[in-house]
Amino acid sequence: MQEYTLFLGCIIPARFPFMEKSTRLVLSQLGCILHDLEGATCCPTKSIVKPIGDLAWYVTAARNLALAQKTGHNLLVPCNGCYSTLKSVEVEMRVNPGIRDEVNAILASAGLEYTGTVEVKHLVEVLHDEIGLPKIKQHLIKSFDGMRIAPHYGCHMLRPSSSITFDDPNKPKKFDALIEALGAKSIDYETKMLCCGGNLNTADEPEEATALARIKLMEVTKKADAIALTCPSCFMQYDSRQYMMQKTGEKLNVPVLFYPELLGLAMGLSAQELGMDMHRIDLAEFLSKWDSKYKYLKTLKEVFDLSAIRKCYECAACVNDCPVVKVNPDFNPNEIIGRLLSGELEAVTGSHNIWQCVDCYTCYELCPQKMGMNKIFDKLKHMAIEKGMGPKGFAASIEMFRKDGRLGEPTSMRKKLKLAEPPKSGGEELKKLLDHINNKGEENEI
Amino acid sequence: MESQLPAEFIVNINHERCRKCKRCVINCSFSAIEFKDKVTANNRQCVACHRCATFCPENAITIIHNPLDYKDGYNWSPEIRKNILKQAESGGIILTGMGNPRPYPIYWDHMLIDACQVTNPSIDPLREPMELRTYLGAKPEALEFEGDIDNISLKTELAPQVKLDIPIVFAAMSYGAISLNAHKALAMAAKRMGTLMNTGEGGLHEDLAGYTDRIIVQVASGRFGVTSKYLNNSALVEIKIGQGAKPGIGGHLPGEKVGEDISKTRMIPVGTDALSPAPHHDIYSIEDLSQLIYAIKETTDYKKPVSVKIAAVHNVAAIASGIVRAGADIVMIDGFRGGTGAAPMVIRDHVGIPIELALAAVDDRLRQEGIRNRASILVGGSIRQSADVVKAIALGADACVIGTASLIAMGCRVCQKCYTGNCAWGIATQKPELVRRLNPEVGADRLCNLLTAWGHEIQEVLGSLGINAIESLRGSRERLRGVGLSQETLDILGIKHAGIGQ
Ligand code: SF4
Ligand code: SF4
Ligand code: SF4
Ligand code: SF4
Ligand code: SF4
Repeated sequence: MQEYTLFLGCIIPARFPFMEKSTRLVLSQLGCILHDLEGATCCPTKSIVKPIGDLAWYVTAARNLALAQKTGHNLLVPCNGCYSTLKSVEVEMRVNPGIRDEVNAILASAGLEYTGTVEVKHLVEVLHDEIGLPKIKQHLIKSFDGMRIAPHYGCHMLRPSSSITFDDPNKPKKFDALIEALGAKSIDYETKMLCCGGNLNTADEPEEATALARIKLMEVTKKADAIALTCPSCFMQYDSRQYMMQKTGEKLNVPVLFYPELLGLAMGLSAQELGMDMHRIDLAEFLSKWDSKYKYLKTLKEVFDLSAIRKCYECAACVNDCPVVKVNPDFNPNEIIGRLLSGELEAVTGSHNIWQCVDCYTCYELCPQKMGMNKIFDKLKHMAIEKGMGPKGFAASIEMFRKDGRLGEPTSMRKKLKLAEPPKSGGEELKKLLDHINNKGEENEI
Repeated sequence: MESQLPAEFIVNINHERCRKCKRCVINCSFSAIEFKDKVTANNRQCVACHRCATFCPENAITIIHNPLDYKDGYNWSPEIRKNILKQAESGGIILTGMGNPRPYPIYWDHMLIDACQVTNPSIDPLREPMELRTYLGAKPEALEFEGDIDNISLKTELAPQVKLDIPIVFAAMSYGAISLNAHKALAMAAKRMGTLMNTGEGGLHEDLAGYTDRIIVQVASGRFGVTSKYLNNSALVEIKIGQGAKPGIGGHLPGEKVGEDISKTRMIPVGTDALSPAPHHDIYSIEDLSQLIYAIKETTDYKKPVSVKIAAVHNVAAIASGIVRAGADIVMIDGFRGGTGAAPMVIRDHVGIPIELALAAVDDRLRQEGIRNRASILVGGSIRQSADVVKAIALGADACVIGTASLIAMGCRVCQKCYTGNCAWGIATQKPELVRRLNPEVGADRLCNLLTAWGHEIQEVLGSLGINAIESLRGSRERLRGVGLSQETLDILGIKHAGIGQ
């Protein structure tokens, strides 16, 4: 059982208590015990408190650390800003005995001392390194499969690397891994590492702060279903500020999710329980898209090997060599796969295109996963037949096959060529066997 | 932490030749190739499995070693330095796959085979019959017969024997470490060639039920999948004490690889780690081992030979003697170059002894004690070519086992990444889209071709030695000579130096 002392900082309790709610809910489901930090103050925020003076900054942070040390558990911090501050001071106090002694001398007058026995951990660090992806995956109830999420790390989760070392400061991977653990696709995008711009507000530059937030939102709205993050300041930029932008007519529609919310949803908690109705940007569309995607993929999975089809969509190995493509450039196997994945199973089953595959197995032979489009077309054709669809000639042939077990009757040509009587048809016997399948209602697919 | 490790390989794409078919992108199971307007390599991920290069229709890909030079240092070799960097970044044991790649002496390559000249005619294997078959199992001290010369029959009761049409058996590789398609290929090839495959410690998948008379079932410390039905559905039963690649340590199949099928075969819940303890928790002495041997013999009604597999370690001769006295019908010795799906590098590369020396020591010891007939000796641990088989048999083995060589025959490129579960060739993986890449039928054909080819080569060598049966070669150390070996090594191998006559 893991135990931590939760450091919420100022913004979460003051403005976004739902973040506290989701953090507590998911961590308790993951078996963590959280303790509160009595007497905590602002971390302190670097951009506001450090200019007052170095020592004030150190002493405020070290006081929080000293209180945490009394609880005996590492500090768990869900806010990037608090994390960066506390972590920097923690490391400074460990590697720099001069500062440690000076700060501790002041703390002593309050009966406190920080000796470095408890450490500061980011929420992402705890989830990824200490709880671990396998454990998170075990708690998955409703996966985000098929949803595209843009990860926003935020500068202070990763920097400065002089004290923060749990992930790469410029090319981090762990938050992406946490998102993918929930089944979603964590997208790579150009402005991924761009700062949210929140601190520009402190410099009385709200216009510039908005401009920075806008750059990322503009990209994400085109490429992903939502943005995921773990910091209340970044949240303020992307949720609250986006709301203001909306009011002035700029509709970007990017849902902003605090990671524990995403995790909570995947664990089967409801958006209400998680307090997600308190977001400014409406989540209804995101949630219903997720729900229908989930249901659709579930049916698709029953018929197709989903992981294989996804690979197909990225691949094109067989497309250029398909003989049908050579005479009909509109026959685009890859596009059919794309439509299948995006929810058009019904339309695809009804389309004439699927009957154009001539079963030549060229694609099977070229396929890196030894699957081949023809396998997918087989399934689609079967589904179409079940629904009574398909080309006319096809239906006639099937009728003939069902009746005689053959697709053609021997003709008088045989006599001309002096061929003997053809072997008798086993159509009757075959008919019985096929009836057997029908009567027993057996699954006609293996 | 930012990695300071340089890429090991560079993936070169000839963009003039490339026709952007993306075949390489999906073929690479290590995410080393992406498509961004054009094919782009992520060199650090490349493991040199050659999958992309093999399947590029335009031959546009070459994989080269990263030519990044290191400041010279024979002692602090680049490899040693890279390993330190790895561990300084991970804080963990370095895992690896396949066999020991380090430049320890390979004694096979310091032994030469005799041939007949003038006084003793050689035999032409294309014209004369040439026996490669042999039998595994305990042989009697002497034979007694009944009846008269016209109607003679054997009076001595023989211990159970397993016939091999060729003295090469497929090594133990579990379903879990390798894919079901690889297992099927091995089983089909074993049946066609009249030899055996070995389940390893993972139990027997129901799809292999039709091959049971060609299968060695293993009982290892995890006891995965062991039931009396399992033991009886076999050609012989093997108790695994140790493995050449990782003597003295257990096994670990991570839970992520334990899907529905493996869970059934191993009889453990889906998603749980399959941990084989280092020792058998009920074996702490030769007497304990004997109990297990006889428990298995009872279960199989004394109809199956029981083999005990050990890693070649310093005291191997005495251990083997104990094993034979404990009642084993076969001793299987696995040398320190043996392969593995996953092992800590420090164990794979530094623990155990070469199979050549272990084999000579065991055969010697059993002869001295007068019990060599009581058990067959199987050896493995990097048998690379037919010549190694011939030399092993001349040193005293009954037959050899091949693991790595059989995987290479099926497509393995010895990239040593088996432990990642991403094998691009569908061998050491459980991912369905990768497993499909290995067609069991084609795999079996390739394995049969390899054994057939080695069989012909062994016949050629037997012919040149003037003998017509592999069994006549067993233990004929006089037909071997050493080159470039110390006197002590020659003594252990029990062979003379080249240049010395009879
Ligand atoms: S069937 Fe195979 S070759 Fe064709 S697109 Fe799919 S993965 Fe690629
Ligand atoms: S089997 Fe169908 S999809 Fe595949 S190459 Fe032939 S016609 Fe094209
Ligand atoms: S890992 Fe294998 S397939 Fe991928 S680039 Fe390297 S050699 Fe090619
Ligand atoms: S397989 Fe060869 S031709 Fe095809 S995209 Fe890759 S490099 Fe280009
Ligand atoms: S079995 Fe696969 S992963 Fe292992 S060495 Fe061979 S090619 Fe590489």
